[in-house]
Amino acid sequence: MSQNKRKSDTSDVTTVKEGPATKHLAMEEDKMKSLFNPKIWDPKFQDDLKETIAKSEPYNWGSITDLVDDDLLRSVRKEIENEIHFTLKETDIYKVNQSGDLANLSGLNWEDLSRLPNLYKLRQILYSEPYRKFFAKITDSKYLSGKKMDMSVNTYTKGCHLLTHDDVIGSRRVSFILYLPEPDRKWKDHYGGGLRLFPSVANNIPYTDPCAKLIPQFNQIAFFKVKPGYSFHDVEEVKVDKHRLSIQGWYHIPQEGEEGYIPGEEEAWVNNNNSTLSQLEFNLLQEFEYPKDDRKTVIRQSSPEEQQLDKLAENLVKLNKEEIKELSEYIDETHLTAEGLENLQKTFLENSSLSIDNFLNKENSEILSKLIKFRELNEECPKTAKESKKPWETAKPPHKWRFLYLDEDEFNNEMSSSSDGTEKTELDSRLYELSQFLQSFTFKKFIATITCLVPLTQSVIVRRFRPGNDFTLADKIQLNKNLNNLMECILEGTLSLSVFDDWENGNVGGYQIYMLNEEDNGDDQAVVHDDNGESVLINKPASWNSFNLVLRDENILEFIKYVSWGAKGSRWDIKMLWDVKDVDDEEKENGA
Amino acid sequence: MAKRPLGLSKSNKAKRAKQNNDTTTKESTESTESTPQLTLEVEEGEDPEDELVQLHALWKTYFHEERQTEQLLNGIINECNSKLIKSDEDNSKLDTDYLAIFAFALVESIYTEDGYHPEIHELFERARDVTTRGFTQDSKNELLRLTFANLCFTRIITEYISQLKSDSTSLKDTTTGKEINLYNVLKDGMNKFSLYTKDLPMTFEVLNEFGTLLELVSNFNSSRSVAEDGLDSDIEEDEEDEDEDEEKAESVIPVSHPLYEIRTHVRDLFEWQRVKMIELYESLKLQNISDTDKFKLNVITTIGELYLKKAAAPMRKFLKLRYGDDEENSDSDLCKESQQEAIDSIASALEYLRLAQDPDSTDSWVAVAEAYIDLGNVCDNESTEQENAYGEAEKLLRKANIAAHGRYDDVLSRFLQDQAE
Repeated sequence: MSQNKRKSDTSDVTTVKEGPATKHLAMEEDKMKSLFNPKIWDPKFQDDLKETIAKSEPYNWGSITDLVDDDLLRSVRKEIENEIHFTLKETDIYKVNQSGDLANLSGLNWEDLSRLPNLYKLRQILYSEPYRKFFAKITDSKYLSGKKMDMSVNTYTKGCHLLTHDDVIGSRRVSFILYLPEPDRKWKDHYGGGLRLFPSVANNIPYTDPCAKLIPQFNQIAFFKVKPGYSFHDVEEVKVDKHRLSIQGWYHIPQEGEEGYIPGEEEAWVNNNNSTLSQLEFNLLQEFEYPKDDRKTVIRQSSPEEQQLDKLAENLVKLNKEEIKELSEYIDETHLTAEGLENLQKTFLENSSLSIDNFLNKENSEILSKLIKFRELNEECPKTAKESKKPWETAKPPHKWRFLYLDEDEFNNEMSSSSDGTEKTELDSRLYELSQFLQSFTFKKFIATITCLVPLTQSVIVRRFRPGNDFTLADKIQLNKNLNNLMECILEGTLSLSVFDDWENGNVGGYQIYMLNEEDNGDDQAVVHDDNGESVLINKPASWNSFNLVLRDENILEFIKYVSWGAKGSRWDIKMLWDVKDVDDEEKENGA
Repeated sequence: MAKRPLGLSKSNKAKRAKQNNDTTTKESTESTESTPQLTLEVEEGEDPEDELVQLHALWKTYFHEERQTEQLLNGIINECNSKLIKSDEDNSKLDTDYLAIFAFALVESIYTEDGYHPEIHELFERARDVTTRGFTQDSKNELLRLTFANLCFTRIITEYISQLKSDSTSLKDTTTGKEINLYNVLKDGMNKFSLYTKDLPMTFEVLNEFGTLLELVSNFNSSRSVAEDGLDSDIEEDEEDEDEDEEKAESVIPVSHPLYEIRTHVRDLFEWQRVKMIELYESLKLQNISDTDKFKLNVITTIGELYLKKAAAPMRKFLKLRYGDDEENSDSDLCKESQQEAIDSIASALEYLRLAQDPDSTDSWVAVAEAYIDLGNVCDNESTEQENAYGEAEKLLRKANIAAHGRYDDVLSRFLQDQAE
């Protein structure tokens, strides 16, 4: 999902036909123009703004303050507050209070129009010909459709956010956001909710951190040209108990019968944008993606190791005393008794997933908890890629994920060059050692025993998801094409090591979701919180010392929800991936 | 041969299919099988077969663990109600605790998923009748007294204040039409209030309900009552608003308004809450609870905050006299008295807030820092005391800001800017 363009959902776009309602409400041009700030009709203002936008970084964008008549916008705000019902919607990429779309306003009956007359008027002037021409001029966008209207009202309350994306859907040509926070009060930087723009490293590869930010004010409009693969932006989380109300909209490519309509232009644009799904783009993305998905083959075919794992997976042998002893250096002994192992296996076979609380033994749990807590409370948390210090690196690009990870190569480099005086922290060393244990052959034996599966490859990564910064977007598994005897599944393990205790209700994010990929449901995002939560199969809050195992197939999406700025600390975890050996169909049938 | 697992989505599909099949066969027996079972823990040395012991355990589970569970609450109400009917029939005396729990449960039942219960008035009346019966049996019963206090506080918040508008001049009982004096209702509750030593967290909840009521009254009709627009982010603006509230209390709530009397006594009422909170803390200390216990820390923090509330008025008075337009007052006796009063209260607040400092909670560090800032503000300008107080505040804010990944950036920079000016 995150690697691909999200599908277009055109249900919120309406092509307006002339009807009695629109005729009745048609406004004279002079009257319409008078509802805008007169400055925008001044050719000098237009030329200056056009130049500013053309030169702006990281791509063509701009903003206008005091755009429309103040009384009109205050009335719109009141109407919205009184008449529009908002629903909090949360997906992997956003958390926002949404209204229905406004596109169908002109299709409403008179009774409904009387409820929202000012909002109707606002929409009418925003899509009027003179204003579109002005907008097309300053953004150098040729023509913009007046028929295809596309607007919605959103309110971002405390904790709401929208992660990095490029707005490329269908025939969108220019995006705009008209802000309506509380009038007469300045919206301050520390409230959050800023529009942040990201430069790009290459086509479809945004840089990790934004380079421009707009702090929204009442009656200010921000806008940018939709540029496939480049117009990446996000909405910073709102950090205070305030409402950042806004009207979000798009201008589309002209439709048939409109000035500037070019037959086939829209189709060509859409096709071109969809080609960003091409293998070429995908390969480019992989090139710039960190950490790499490198499940290394660790168990060779027909090797003695594979045979040992086979026997454990088939319950023909049990873990021996030495192996148990080795495992108990890290894992709590209650899970390693005959009964403990049997219970884990039974649960996993029943559910294809397993959650083990108090996974690490007391000694390791206590020392790690103490060290992580110490780092959280006493060391400044890096906020940008530049600030992060080795051996920690920032995962990128940010339209797929962002988090800190322990780069084990860097860790080893530091180890070999320790003569330069740099001292490793005890926490990094402990985490590295734990990671090594999780990559050990003995741990794979444990995995084979409790899952009845034979891991042949592995990838283990220590991660830290910082509040106000980090997440992973919903993604499908990438099957390993290098080996041919693998199940079409990946076995995933997550050892959650998040200290502090405010994760349980999910309000601060950081939870891990496994959900069905219901591609045919017409929506393009991984919806977490709505009335129909049936597609969510596992929702595991960040926690201390719990180990999750899931056998993930291609129909399953997984993500870590953005960790809110309000979280007491980071979500720490260790993510493990194993390709597992296939068994023939007959065995599967028998087993199932 | 061991069974091999399926991928999660297939496993889920198979399970659902199985569940669907099972549902059809189970439907006929469902009514008998679906009765939820609850395991209750009773206090050591108590007889688990005793019905009153069971009711206490049930109530405790409801109140502290399952407060959203309507089913459990209804179970308690039904149990108490049938006991009451039976005792009437037998002409036997029902233990006062039954009556107290019954009345408390009735008050709890005013909250429904869709807001307040449509028969909120009747529920409060019924609860009141039950407590009256209890008081005739045992007027010293701690639980009953706490229940009655809770009834009064909750009733003002839910049934009464919700009926009031900014220009209300009277409030009448919806059935009898009799005028209700809200201050008297509140005083009734306060007079009957008692710590319930067997359940101090419940007592704490009731005292907090009292605090909520006072906050509501303080903000009634004022711009600050727009809670949805957030109070945590505009410290300067909020302070301005607060000043305005104090000075223009009468214009915000007219003399004829049913809340006026409570509003004019609000400072004394907060004082009462603080005194009771300290009594609760003293009682808690006797119970040999660890100093890091979250509940204990909450109680201590609340006392600290109430001391800061106590300091607010003299602090404002002092700042106005010392730094206001009228230079003659800047060193008057009244100015000095206000200063000392504020310093004493802030010092007490600091004593508690420092005690409540939790190494894992940056909020608790910031609470101490804010109290130090208040202290600095009321010390003589550029005095060593002021410098020390600000120094402590800065140290804590810097530490908290690191721990809270920059959450206090703005507070810290504003504080440093103020100091520089």
